[in-house]
Amino acid sequence: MNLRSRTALHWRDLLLELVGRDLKIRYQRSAIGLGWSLMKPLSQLLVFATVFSKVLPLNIENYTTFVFTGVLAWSWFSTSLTSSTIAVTANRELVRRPGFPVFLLPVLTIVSQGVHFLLALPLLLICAVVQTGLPGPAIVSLPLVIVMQFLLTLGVCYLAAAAHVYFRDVEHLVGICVMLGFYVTPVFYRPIQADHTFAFLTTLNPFAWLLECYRSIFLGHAFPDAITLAKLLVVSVPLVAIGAWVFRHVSYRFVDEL
Amino acid sequence: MTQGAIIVQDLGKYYPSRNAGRPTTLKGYLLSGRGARRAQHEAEHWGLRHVSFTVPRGRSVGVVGLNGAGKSTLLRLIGGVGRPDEGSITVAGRIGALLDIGAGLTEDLSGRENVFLLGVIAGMLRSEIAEQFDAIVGFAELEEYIEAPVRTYSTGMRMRLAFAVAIHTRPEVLLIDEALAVGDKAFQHKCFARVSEIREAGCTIFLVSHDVEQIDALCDDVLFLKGGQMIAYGPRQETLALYAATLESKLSSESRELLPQVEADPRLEHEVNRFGSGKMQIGAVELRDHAGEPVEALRTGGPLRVTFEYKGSPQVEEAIAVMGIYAEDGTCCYETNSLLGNIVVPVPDGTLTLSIDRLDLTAAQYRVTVGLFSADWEEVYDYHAEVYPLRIIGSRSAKGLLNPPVQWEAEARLKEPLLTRETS
Repeated sequence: MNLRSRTALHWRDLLLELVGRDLKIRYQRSAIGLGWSLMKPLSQLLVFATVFSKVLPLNIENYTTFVFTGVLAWSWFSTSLTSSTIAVTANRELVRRPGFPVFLLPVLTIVSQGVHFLLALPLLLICAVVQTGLPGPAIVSLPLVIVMQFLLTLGVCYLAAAAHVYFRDVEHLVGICVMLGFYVTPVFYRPIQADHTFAFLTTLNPFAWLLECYRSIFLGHAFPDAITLAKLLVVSVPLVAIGAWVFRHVSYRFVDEL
Repeated sequence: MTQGAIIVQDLGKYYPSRNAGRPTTLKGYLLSGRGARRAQHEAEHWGLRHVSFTVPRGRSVGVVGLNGAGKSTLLRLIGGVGRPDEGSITVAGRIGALLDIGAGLTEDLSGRENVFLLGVIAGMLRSEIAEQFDAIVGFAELEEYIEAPVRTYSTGMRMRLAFAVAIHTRPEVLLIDEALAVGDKAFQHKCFARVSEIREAGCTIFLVSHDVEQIDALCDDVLFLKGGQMIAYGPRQETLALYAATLESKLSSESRELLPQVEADPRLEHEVNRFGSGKMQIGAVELRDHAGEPVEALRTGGPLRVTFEYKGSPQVEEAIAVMGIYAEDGTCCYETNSLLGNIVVPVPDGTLTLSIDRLDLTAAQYRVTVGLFSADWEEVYDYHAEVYPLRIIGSRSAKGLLNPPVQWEAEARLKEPLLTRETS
């Protein structure tokens, strides 16, 4: 077996074992196990679906599916970001172990949060089918969008995790940013019209583009806009590259800073 | 040309000083202006500097040095944890490490799950762990409990599990940091044997230890670090002798003002088996038989006289002397002191002798401990812990430490043979 493929296999095994550990620890001694991971987005969904279709109607068609898409995608992003931020500092033991690939730590948290996202996805699909009928062939492009979100999240997470090692208050800063991001991004409201003063919040927000892709699949039964996908790619690939570079660059210093 | 498994060239690593560490909050960073940051830069100190050596493939190297000499830093740098600030390190081959044994166990998972987890973290593939699983569990002696969660394990069991995984990673370069003192004596022995086995299989070993005996038994070469500098690197015996000499000079330099230097036994190591303030110092310790001849071995039941000289500074007014005999595993067989014997220890200088009329210990290896304490036991003046070997030869008892003169008496009673009663 050559060295490179062995390394790749080892990373895969590390991901499997460590993600498995994460999930096992979290749910092993709870009554409904992984079901808890669905509780938060579902309760959020309940609130939004009630408030914005009955109390303060936003007049968005198929609002439940609309907001469910937003809430699920956003909660994957936000939980990944908050737990990746402390990924390095919380795993001292692993960082100090010879030969441990530290750059896997943020990947690890995103994947393990991604498991929750994937588990909730069937519910979203059912919701979409009930409200809008069977999805067309566009559904095959869903994995592509998920990969986009993974890359986008990874880039941001690398930067946050690296910064946190040096400045512990990044943790609180990230908490606030995630909260603001939730309201700035059209998660529960319609993308802001292009002629509005605050339109840039939607047009320049990569996460808004991402939600647009998700929604065009689930609500419009159409393939995501190629230009939007291209824009996402143009933002997320360099972001991952920069994030990984910064992370790698400072990761040698992690041991001293911890 | 011998190919090096570990090549270290002009290695340097600096650390920010402990008290003026860099700010870890944004506020701290913003508040510390430019000048302050420059001042911090000056406060940094070198944990290692100008260290260069090559370890040929298959050699085992022990690292000795006092606390803070940079031993562990060097080991971690070789393991690829952290990056040197100067120079370079090249390691050829897969690295295995016995460091922080027991860290990284997950409480809520079973022993089995932890074996896989620790295995992949140590660099093994899941398929490789599955292959070796039985061997690992067998080595840890945990077959019965392997499905139980680790939170139910005792400390010893955890250590055994972690060690068993670490030792089965089939490394080409093995880094060990003070990790061979795990579990009970029997398990330590097993670990030791296993490391020797790995060594004989051609693995390069890099061992950091305070235990000179361990280094003596496992290493070909010794590297001696002091204050981040490499003092010596070479064949074991020479380097260890140099190390011992440095320790002695450290001990005497601390108490030079107090009293004339007492010649120290080479077996003594400060803070390892010698402790104390140095206000009084024990010199030559001799074990003698009934004829007054110095001995190292004694027949069981024979008399023993332990004599030691000491010198003290004039401010010492009273002292208590202690003498004990310990078995190889550290069990105390006997200990007494001058208070119990109603003896006044003459100060500041003198000679003390303790005569034991019969030493009814079973045949084995023992070590003698001597010490001088202040009259209120508050201060240790000098204490040589299990330093002087004493071998007892002769008949063995079946079990235990005592071997007193005994006689069996047996009497046959044939009036009522057992056999006849059974057949009738």
